Amino acid sequence: MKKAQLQMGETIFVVIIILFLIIIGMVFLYGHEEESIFKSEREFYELDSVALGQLITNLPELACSVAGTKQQSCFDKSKVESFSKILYQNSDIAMEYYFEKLGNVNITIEEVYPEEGKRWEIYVNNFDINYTDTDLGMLIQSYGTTLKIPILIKDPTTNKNSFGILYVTKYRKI
Amino acid sequence: MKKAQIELVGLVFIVLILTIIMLFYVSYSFQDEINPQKTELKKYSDSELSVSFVDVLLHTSVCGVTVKDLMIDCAKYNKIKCDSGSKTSCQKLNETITEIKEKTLDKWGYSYGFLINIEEDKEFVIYSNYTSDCVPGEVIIGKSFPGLFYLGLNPNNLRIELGLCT
Repeated sequence: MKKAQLQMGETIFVVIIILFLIIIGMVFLYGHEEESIFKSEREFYELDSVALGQLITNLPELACSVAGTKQQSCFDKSKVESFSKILYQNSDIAMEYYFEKLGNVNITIEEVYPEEGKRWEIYVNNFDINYTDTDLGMLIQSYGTTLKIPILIKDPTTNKNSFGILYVTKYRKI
Repeated sequence: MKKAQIELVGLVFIVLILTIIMLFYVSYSFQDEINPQKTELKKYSDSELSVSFVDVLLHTSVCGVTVKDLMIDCAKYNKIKCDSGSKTSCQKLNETITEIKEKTLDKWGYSYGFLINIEEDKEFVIYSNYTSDCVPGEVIIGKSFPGLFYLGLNPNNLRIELGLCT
């Protein structure tokens, strides 16, 4: 093999190595970009959950009030019972109205003290977990994160306050 | 310098650059795993939980009064009797906080430090409970989300602190 051919082979080898390095770099960069997009998506979704938590704790339909003034982190027991009953009985109309405000979310209130185990399902609108979309022909899974907020459950008839927890689970398709 | 030596230096240079790039990438990829950043939801949920927990606890009804009244009575007057006079306000307060805490923070596996004391007299402790990795009094500093409340008790202040360590 002549010297010129050897040098040509060397140059081709160097070009291949450089191309290989560029491709590796692009793969890493793409992976990193994809990861940061997922991260931003999750961040927006979580901020949405936070906003939802604040919205629910301030719903006048559920909050306690004294002389027209709303009390913070307090849910009126009679309002909670009525709200959950109305939503259950008129689920079509009520769900349509609240879907715009709340979206795919499960809201549950649980009494912790003095009585344990009393639960009110305020609003239940989650995706069917793991179903196959016939149009897309693919399996759709849903994922939910739960926010736990301590709340006061006030019984207006006895004027006693119970310690309760508000569970807000927001769902999204993955 | 001979041509072979120059090529060797070039090769070493390329290997060094590749090693630095690889090290940079590996350290960047594992940064999140070594030092995981709190998500927005976790930050909000922890800070909201500690503040709301104490706020709601103070207004919870126990033996005809609120927990706040029990605390004040336990710290100053010792007049309230609960459960047909069998328990003092301090005993009932201890029992109530422990029960609520067991059904919430303990059940969810949180690390916390919970301390109720007289601010001006650190040795006057009304309630103190903490998990091994979260010492009360230190939880305020840096690593936790504190729920801190003060109740005015002339001439002292009652200090209620719940810190969630993560």
